[in-house]
Amino acid sequence: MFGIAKKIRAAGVIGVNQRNADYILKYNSRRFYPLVDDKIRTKLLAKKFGIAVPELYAAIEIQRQINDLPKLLSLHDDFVIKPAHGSQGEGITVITGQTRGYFRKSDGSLVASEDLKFQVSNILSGIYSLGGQPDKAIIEYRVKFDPIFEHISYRGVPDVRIIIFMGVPVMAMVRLPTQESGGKANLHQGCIGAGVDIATGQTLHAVWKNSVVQDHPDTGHQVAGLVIPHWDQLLDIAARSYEMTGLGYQGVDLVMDQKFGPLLLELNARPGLNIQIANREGLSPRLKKIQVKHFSSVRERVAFARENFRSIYV
Amino acid sequence: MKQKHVFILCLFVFLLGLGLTGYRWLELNFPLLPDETAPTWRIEIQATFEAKGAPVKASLMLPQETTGISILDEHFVSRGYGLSTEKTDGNRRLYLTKRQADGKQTFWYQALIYQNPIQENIATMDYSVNPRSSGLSGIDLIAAQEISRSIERASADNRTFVRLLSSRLKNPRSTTKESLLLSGNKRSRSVSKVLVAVLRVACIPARLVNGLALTPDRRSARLTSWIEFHDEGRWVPFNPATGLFQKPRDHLSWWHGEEPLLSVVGAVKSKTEIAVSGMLFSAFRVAQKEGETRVDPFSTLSLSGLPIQTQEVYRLLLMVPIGIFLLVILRNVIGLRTFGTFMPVLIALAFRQTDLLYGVFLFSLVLGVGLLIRFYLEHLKLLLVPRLACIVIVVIFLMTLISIVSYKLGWDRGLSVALFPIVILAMTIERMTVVWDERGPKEALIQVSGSFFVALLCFYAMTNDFVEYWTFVFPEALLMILALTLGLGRYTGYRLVELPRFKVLSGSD
Repeated sequence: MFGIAKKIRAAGVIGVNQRNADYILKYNSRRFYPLVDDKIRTKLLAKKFGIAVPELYAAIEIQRQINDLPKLLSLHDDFVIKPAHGSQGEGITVITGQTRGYFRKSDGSLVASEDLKFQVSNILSGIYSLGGQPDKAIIEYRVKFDPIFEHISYRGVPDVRIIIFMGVPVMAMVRLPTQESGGKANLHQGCIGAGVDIATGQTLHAVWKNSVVQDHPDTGHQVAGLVIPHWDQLLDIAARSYEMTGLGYQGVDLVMDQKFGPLLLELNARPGLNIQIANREGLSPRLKKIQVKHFSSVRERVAFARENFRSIYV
Repeated sequence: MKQKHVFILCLFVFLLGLGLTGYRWLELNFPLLPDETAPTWRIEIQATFEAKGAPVKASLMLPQETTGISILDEHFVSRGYGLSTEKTDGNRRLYLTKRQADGKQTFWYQALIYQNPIQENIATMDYSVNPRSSGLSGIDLIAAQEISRSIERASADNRTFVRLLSSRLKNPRSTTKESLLLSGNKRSRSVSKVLVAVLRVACIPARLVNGLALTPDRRSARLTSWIEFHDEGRWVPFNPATGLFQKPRDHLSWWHGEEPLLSVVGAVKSKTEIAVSGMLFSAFRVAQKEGETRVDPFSTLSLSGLPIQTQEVYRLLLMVPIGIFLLVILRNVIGLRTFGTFMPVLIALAFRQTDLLYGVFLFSLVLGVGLLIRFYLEHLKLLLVPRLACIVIVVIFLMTLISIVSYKLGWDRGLSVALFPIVILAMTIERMTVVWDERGPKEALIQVSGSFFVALLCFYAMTNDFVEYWTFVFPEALLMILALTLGLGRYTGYRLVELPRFKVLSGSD
């Protein structure tokens, strides 16, 4: 047991306790949390900073508004409903189209508008929010992801998670939904995580349920070796989100849309640690490198990251 | 910087706790271990008699405080009797009186008695009794006089006189004066009685001592007797059973003289039942009692000064930090997942009151039925707050039902279900269904069994006699727990469950 602890300590792996004590509590001021916890605020903030986000169709804040839902939804062929304070991809409904008054979900099943009303009502009463606080529901543009991921994801939307520390991109991964994860992009729900080389934007080996895999378990296509398009832009958006929120240690979730390019999906003040597994590298050495530096511009930070955080597996 | 600050604070709080604990231990003599029992005993007398509609006057001999014996606590329970205690003839008596009583009468006396084994009970001469009148007359008196005369010739002093007399009384030749005095009855009480009578005839002041054997957990204890005689200005005990000049070991000397324990006027069939038991917290209580006389401000700052019910509350409350400390370790060092942060500790507290097995059973029962009802409510598509309120009401209703049904079935353990924290139960049910729906039954069961496991460990920590004793007697020891918890607040090492999780990164493959 202690042998493992020693080895992973040597590899620079950060545990939950250390992440909380040494980074989140130190670099993330609590007063900035609402900016990232409420996805509507994040959206508005991103717009102010000129960062592209999936378009907000409507925000539903009180139960009464639910009655207007069918009218609102008839305006859009496809859309996503999600809680503003949701976490870990919970409470998200993706509608890909409408047929004869029914809505088609991303898994192909049809739901009535009554079901969507109930879903929204649940969101408002706060079952998906932390602590059961009353919540808001977001109806937004459904991202049509870039064809590069077509063969290596099962339904759902693959997204790119970049950890930034003091505005410097530290580590990145791409999360690929699987059948098991139910279209959600969360590692502990069974989706695939593939590390991405910060320097080149190239995917490394993939990790599925804590073990290294070569291919996507559902599609059978190789995951490693892809180059994520617009990598410069992705790094740029990630680095700029530090100015946006003021959080020193945060996770930036980005998606690649066919039409609009990279979009900022959401920010996370307590990003998970599985990214280390996906990259097969500990975060600690990289974070320490940044701690002793001072940067004057976004460009400088990105350049520093590309120069220093080249993956050992490329 | 912060690390250092926390470290210094931890050290300070820890040393403060340690110092205060040490002071209480070394200076105030609070024992460190619960089984360091100073001989403290709970004596319970149940006295019964049958009254016949006439005025009743009963007198019961009570133990009294002398050097080496303190009465820490005393209770009388009697229905409708006037009570008064009185010290006469070197004895303490409880008088129970009633103008009119009919039928079987029962009363209880309970005392907590501490007998210091080091300070021997050396009673000073008490001349209020007349130790000279032997109470013998006629042929008995002549026999006694003859015995004493013959022994006096063969003895050197009072001690040898007593020893010779005792051996002659214990082995009487069948036709002698000794057997006349004993009238064929050789029970030790009678031997003691005759010893006292003959000593008095020989002008040696003597008295009968009635005592109680202090053995742990003895129901219906028997009274024994020995004697004390006057020698060189003080009372010397003599035990005819052993022939030694000391009172029997681990015996409490209760009262002097030939009066019975209970004497009743105006009633018949009087009977006494004596129970003795050793006490767990005794040594601590004794230190407490002695502290009162020492007027040490710190020693009076103790929980045992509070009323009994309040003490019980604190006995429970002071266990909570122990449970919480354990929880912190299990969550932050081991990495177990539970429903709600402190829910397992509260559950463990409830288990403490209900007993583990029943607790787990009742808890699972309420949780299971509550879950079924919650799944049904899911179909009704209720809003969150009313739904939660419904669950709380249902939980309360379930608990009431369990209590009523189990009581009807004669299973009074079921009544303890009322001790469960209702809201915690309701929240657990709600959280569990949400997890069940979103992440599947597997995750829900993992979390609920994690909670149970933690509750179980907390239960064992919180029911440990030693831990309970420590938190109650040395509440300042909790400062050390606080220090350790503070320290854990800056524990940045891996959680145990992270080791297999990050094993891929150990570079072994």
